Amino acid sequence: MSERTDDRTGDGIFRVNDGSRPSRLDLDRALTGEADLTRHDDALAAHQAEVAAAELPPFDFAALQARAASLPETALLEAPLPEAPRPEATLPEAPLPEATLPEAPLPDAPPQDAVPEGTTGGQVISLAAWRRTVVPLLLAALALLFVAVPIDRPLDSPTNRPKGTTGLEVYVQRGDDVLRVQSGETLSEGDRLRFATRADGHETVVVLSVDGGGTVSLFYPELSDEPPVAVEPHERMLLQDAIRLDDAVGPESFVAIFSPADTPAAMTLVREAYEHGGHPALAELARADPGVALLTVEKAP
Amino acid sequence: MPPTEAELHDLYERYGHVIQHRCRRILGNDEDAMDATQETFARVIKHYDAFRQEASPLTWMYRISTNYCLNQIRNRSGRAEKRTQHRAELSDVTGGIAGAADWERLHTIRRLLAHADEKTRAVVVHLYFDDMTQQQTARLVGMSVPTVRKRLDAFLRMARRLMERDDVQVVAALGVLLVAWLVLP
Repeated sequence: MSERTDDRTGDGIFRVNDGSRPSRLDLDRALTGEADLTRHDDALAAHQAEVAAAELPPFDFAALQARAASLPETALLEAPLPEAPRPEATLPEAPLPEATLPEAPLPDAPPQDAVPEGTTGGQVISLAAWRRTVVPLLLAALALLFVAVPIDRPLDSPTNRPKGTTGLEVYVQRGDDVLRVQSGETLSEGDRLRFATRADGHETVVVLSVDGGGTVSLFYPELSDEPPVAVEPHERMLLQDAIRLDDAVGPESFVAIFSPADTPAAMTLVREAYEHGGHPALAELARADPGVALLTVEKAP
Repeated sequence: MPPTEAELHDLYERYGHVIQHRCRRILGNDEDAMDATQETFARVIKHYDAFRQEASPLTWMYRISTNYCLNQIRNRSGRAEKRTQHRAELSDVTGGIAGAADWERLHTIRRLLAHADEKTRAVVVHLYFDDMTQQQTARLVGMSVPTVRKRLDAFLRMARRLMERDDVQVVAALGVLLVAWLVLP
């Protein structure tokens, strides 16, 4: 099993609890007598001081009863309330400055060699003229820059474009070098991998892996309820982002399923093949189906 | 059957502070946290029979208060909220959740959370506000661990996009200031 990471966000940011410390639920359960956490006395003491500082409203049974009575009978225990409109995580429609164009036509430009710099027709340009002409144009240009700069910059496209069969290429970063991974090669925990596809006419792909324990990890798309990702049908295409190998040891097969009905179907295909015969069955699947590409590596501790 | 006043008072004494404290971490202020605490206990009254059957009443209350807090965060996101300085704030986010300096980090995560989808929000709340492991989070939200990871990765990518957008905004703002400085007397 592998962990997909975001190259652009980088390591160390938003690091999550790896189990080396108790969670706050653990601490709260200990504080309320639901669990024992004596192994973490220091953490518990610090947490207790934090919680004790919380300003708790006075207990008001009547008010709580009234509030409870006003809750609908189906007061939601599990599901959040219905979705309300929220802003998309995309570039906003930045309003252009009102004065994007000068109201009056610009004066005809005099011959360049006849007019000293900073003058028009022998007259020094006033600040008002600047405001009417240059400033709005500059503001418009800035607004255009604000709107048009792409958030997701296109990744470098490989120039090598072999054709004729589907394929999944895996690359690993070693220091400053990026090396192509060969089948059977040994990789280690923490190795960062990127994938490239050769789609041979297919337009979509699902990329996933099966580790030594049979755990299926979906890489592209990210979630099983998302459609397969689009790929260049006739070109080699480097997929965005990287994955980082975790500490599961043993064989790990990276599988690309081209043109699947949907993402769950691709996952089921791979899972069933693995359950049927492990990694050799996955290799057989790739041999038998031209729409399946596979590369198996060994993961060392 | 709803709880008696004495029963609810006991629950309030036992769980009130931890719920209040947790809601404050998620929502970022005392006032909203107090409302969330009251709403949580109102739901205890409403669903007292189910509540009594829970092996861990606190876990039940965590779940209830999570839903309430996420709804509050989502409703807030409908209001205009400037997303400036994400990069500066995120650059400070390097460690676990501990200590007073953690508050600023939570503030950043809280603002980013408003732009995440519903399922991702729940995952992020448990991972960052509750400092749970991915395994604990998976159990609590009923997802597989790989799905939790993917939700987390999606959140981090979104965070990165917002950071990049802020970069553009800063450049544009500086440009406007420069132009104003050049042309105004």
